[in-house]
Amino acid sequence: MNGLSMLPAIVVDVVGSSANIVFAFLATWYAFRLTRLKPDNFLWGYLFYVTLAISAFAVSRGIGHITREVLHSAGKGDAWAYIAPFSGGFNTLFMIAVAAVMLFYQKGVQSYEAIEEEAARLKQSELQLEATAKKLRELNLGLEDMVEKRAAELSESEKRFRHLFSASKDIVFFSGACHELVEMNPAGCDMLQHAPSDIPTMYLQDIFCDQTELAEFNSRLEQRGYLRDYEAKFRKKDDSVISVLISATALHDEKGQFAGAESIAKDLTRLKSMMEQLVASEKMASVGQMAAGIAHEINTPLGIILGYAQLMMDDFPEESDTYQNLVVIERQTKASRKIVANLLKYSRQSGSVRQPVDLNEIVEDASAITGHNLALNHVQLHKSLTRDLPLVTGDPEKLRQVLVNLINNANYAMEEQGGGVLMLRTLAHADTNMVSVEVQDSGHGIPEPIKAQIFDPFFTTKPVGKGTGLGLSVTYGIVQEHGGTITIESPVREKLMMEGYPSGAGTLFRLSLPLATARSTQENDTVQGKDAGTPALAV
Amino acid sequence: MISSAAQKWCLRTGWLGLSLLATFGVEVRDALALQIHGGPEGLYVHQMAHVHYFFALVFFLWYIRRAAFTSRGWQFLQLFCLLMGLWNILAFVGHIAATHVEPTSLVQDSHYLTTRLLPPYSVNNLVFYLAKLDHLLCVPALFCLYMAIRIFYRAAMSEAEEKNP
Ligand SMILES: Nc1ncnc2c1ncn2[C@@H]1O[C@H](COP(=O)(O)OP(=O)(O)OP(=O)(O)O)[C@@H](O)[C@H]1O
Ligand SMILES: [Mg+2]
Repeated sequence: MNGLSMLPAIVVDVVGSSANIVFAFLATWYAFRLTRLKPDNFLWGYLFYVTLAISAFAVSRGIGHITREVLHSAGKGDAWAYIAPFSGGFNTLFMIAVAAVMLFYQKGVQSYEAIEEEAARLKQSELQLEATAKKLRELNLGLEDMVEKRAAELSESEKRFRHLFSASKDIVFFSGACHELVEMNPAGCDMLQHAPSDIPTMYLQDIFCDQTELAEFNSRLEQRGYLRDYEAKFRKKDDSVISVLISATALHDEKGQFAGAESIAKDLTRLKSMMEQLVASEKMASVGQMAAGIAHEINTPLGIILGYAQLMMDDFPEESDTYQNLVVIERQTKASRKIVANLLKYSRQSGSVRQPVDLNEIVEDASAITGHNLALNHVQLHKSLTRDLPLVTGDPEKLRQVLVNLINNANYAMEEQGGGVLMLRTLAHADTNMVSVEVQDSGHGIPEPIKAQIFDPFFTTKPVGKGTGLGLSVTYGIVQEHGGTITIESPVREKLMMEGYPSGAGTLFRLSLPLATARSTQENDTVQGKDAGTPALAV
Repeated sequence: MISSAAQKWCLRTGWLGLSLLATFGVEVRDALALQIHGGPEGLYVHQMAHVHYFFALVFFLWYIRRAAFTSRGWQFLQLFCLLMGLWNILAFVGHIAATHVEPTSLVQDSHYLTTRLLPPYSVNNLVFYLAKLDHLLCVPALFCLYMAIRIFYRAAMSEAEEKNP
C-alpha cells in the first residue's frame, strides 16, 4: 500500500469542524454576556456581531464538512454532489458576512478610540484640576494662616493705639473732610461734657468757641498739613469755655485731597488760671507796696485838710455858700480817707489776730450789718448754715469785712433789676478739710471778659465816685492771708428762683478756708515746703 | 504623512485589485472533476470571499495595533487575526491546488476512508494534502478568539463587581 492516506485529513476535518463550532459558540456566548454587562459599549457590541458572524460561518462550514465526510464515508458521494453547491454557497456568504462585519468594525474601533481619547483627556484635565485644587487649598490654608497672623499683629497694634487714644488725658479727636467730628476719646468727651454718641453728629464749629479761630485753624491745617501749639478756646456743652493748645495733622486720601485731621488738644485752663493767679499776686504785691507808701503819705495831708476844713466851718454860718463848699470838702476828704484806710487794709499793713473763728457767726454778723441795706433794695435774704461747723483760724474782723464786701457787691448787682434773692451758705468738706462760705445772688452776673479782672485793685464797673474797685482785692488779700481760696461761678448753675423776684444770671462767690486743725498742721509744713498753703485763685 | 481617508482608499482599491487578480490567476481547468465547489463561478466567488476575509482580518489586526490595545485579551485577538489570516492564505492556496490535483492521484480502495494520495508527490499535490489539514490553523484561531472574549468578559465582570459589590 503506497501513497499518503487521506484519513488524517478526514479526521482533522471532522474534529476540527466540531471544535470550530464549539469555540465560535463559546466566543459568541461570552461576547453576548459582555454586551449585557456593558450595553452602551460600542466595541463589545461589534465584537458580538463579529463572533456571531464567525459562529454562523463555523456552523455552515463545519456542518458542510462533516456532512461531506459522513456522506462520502457512507458511499453516498452523489448525494453530496447535490448538496455541495448549497454548502459552498452558504460558506461563501457567511465568510463575506464575517469579513463585512469585521471591516465595519473599523468604525467601532475609531469611535471607541475617540471616546477613549476623550476619557483620557478628561481624566488628564481632572488630574490637573485636582492638582490645581490642591494647590489652591494649600494656598488657602497658607493664606488663612497669614491672614490670621497679620490680623493678630494688627489687633495687637490696634489695641495699643486704642489704649493710647482712650487713656490719653488730653482731648484726642478725628475730623472729616467737611470738618465733621468723627471720633473723640473719652477724656475729650468728658472734658467737653458731650456723650460719645453725640460726637458723630457734631462739627468742629460746635466745639470751637470762636469761629474766626476755627477758620484760622482750618486754613493753616489745609495749607501746611499740620498745626503745632495752636491756642484756641473750646466750648463745653454748658457753654462754659476752656482754653486749649491744639496740635493737629491733616489727613489726605489717595488722590491727595484733604480728608480730615487728627488733633490733640491740651486743656490749658488750669495752666492759664495758674498764670493769671501768679500775675495777679504779683500785681497785688506791687500794688500793695505802693499803696502802703501812698496811704501813709496821703493820710497825713488828708488829716490836715480835714482838720482845717472842719475848723473853717466854725467860722461861717451854715447857710453861707462857703460853708456849703466846706461841707463838700469835708465829705470828699472823708471819702479819700476811706480809700486810704482800705488801701492800708489791702496792703496788710494793719495787724491781724489769729483765733478760732466760727464762720456761721461771721455770716450772722455780716448779714446783720447789711440787713438794712438789703431790705431797702428788696433783696430777700436766705441763710443755709451747716450746724456744728468746724472752726477755722483767722481774724474775725477781717473775715467779717470779706463777707460784708461780698454781700454789698451782690446787693449792688441786684439793685438795677429792683431786687432779688441772696443766699448765704456754710458748708463743711470733710474730705478736703475745708470749710466754705457761699454768697450767691440772682443779679446780672459777671460777664466772661471781666471775670479775670474783678480782683484787680481799682477795677470797678461802678460809675466814677461810687465805687473804689478795692473791695474784691482787699477780700482776695484777706483770703490769701488765711490760706484759703476764693472761686467764682457766674452764671450760676443752680439758679436761685423766688416767686415775684426777678432773676439774672447770678453770681456765686465761694470762699474756702482750711480747718483750724488742718491750718495748724499746714503751718508746720510751711517750714519744709514753701508751696504749702499757697492759695489758689480760680476764675 | 498620508491622511487616514487616503490610506483607506489605497487599502480598499488594493484589496479589490488583489482579489480580482487572485481570482483570475486561478486557472480552472477541471474543477468539475474534483467537485469541490461546483462550477467555476462558485469557486471564483469563494476565492474572492477568502481574499475579502483576509483583508478584513488584516484591517482588524492593523486597527488593533494602531489603537495600541495591549491587554492580554487584545493579544489573543491579534493572534486570532494572524492565525485566521494564515488559514485564509492556506485555504486560498489549497483551493487552487485542489483544482490542479489529477483525479488519478487520488485512489480509493474499498472505502472512502482508505483514500490515498499517490506518488509521485508534486508540490501541488503536497500543498493540496497540507491544505486538507487547515483545521490545525483555524481551530487555534477560534480558540484564541474565544480566549480573548472570555478575558474581556472576565475583566468587565470584575470591574462591575468592583463598582457595586
Ligand atoms: N456779685 C456781683 N455781681 C456782679 N458783679 C460783681 C459782683 N461782685 C463784684 N462784681 C463786679 O466786680 C467789680 C469789682 O468789685 P469790687 O468790690 O472790687 O469793687 P466795687 O464793688 O465796684 O467798688 P466798692 O467795693 O469799692 O464799692 C464790680 O464793679 C462789679 O462789676
Ligand atoms: Mg465792692
